Amino acid sequence: MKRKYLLSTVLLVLFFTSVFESSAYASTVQEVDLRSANYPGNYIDGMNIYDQRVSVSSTIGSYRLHFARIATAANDRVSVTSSYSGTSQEAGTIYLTSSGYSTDIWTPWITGPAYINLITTNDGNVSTGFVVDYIEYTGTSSPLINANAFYPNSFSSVSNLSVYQAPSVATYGYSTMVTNGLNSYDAITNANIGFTASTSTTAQVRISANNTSGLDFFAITQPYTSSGKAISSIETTTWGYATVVINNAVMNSWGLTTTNKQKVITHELGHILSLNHQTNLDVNSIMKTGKLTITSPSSVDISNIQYKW
Amino acid sequence: MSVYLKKIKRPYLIIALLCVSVISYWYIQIDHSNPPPKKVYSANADYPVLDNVYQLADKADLIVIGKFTGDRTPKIYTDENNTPIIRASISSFKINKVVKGSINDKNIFVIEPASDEDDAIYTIEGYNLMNTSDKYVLFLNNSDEEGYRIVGMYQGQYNLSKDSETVLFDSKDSKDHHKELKQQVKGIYKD
Repeated sequence: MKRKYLLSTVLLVLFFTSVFESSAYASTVQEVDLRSANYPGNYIDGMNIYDQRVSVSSTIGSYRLHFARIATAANDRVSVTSSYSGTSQEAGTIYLTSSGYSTDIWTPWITGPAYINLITTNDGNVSTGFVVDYIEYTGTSSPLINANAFYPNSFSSVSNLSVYQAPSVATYGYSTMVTNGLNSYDAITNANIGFTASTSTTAQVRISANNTSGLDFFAITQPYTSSGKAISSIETTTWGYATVVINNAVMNSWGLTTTNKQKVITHELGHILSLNHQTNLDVNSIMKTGKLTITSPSSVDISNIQYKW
Repeated sequence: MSVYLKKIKRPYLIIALLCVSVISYWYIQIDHSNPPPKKVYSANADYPVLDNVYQLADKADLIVIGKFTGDRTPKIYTDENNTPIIRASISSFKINKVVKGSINDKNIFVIEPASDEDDAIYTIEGYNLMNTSDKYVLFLNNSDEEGYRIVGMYQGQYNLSKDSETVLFDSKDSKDHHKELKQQVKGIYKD
């Protein structure tokens, strides 16, 4: 009899422990892209600066990083540390250290800042480095929301914005992506958003594309007053119109895929609706900058748009 | 007649003296050595984000240290309808040291994503135009245009003469990002 009770008790303890651990680590997984430079090509031996700083919202409880792959040559290694030194790279608590070839590696749970270091020795042996593809975190992400997600200036209404696409948009192959981007915002419920195609060069939204190889941006948005004066990001002025410029040359030089390019287009159209950038690593948003694979507004973006429009 | 003239002249004289006094007082109050700062218009872009100095170095075709010569001309990009869409500058740069790449001419042109015009400063993502006093390290790519492209815009230009400098960022994150990269850059690149 006693043995039965003992077994039952052990099973109950194990059950509640697993439940407790599950709830303690009730978490969110977010796609990221942190990699050593030149990946999947080889890193250069003997460099002391290969580090990635992990920046997360202050409202996150703890997080862990998933390495899709670590590949280091003999005498080199990857480490994850709580702080960083300009001379030795690693400093503070060492959460993980790995060398050789490994895939599917999670760090332990981390609280506070972290740095991903690739430590190399100048011995001529190299490999491909690392790539982090996910972050899992507890607590809540802290995106910019409501008024904080927007510029203090905008169109007075976006219920029926006229949109002109210059011939260059089709010439460089972005027409479908622009349509996809416009449709993704138009489809948002409980938001008064609409677009009308226009052949007029004086439409409210004027989109063009070019091969501006002299300036290192993917795309740029600039609002103007109705009299053609540029509006700065801190003014409380009503927009008359806005221009969107798509930089085909630079997107190609950075190796952006069709998916990445769609992200860029939808991102810029978010600026047309007055959305500002989202900067924390843990935030899932079309309004983050850079070469990413998100292609349509996230729940955070939708909620913000519903708030304003 | 002469008496009448004397009577008319005095009031005019007093008025004239008063006007001169007011104008002089107003002129003296203006600090001509420090004119009011120009308005800054910073356009928002989606752009490549470099996470560390190695990525910058890896991406650059040319890394140079030197100074802006003072020779700068506006470069206005227009769309098919000749509407100005981007304001930039072509700036002359004298090289003191080549860190990466090879180049024969010590004087090159770089395209800066900003323009200092009569009415305002136009910039992309808070890029700050080089001045003639300070030394800079530039991370550059080849381009098909009249000058080199600065890698990642504000991420590819660093003032080596000053630890802190005037910045035009309207985002704290861009400011912190540039500052962090600058610490790494200054630790490696010296003239």
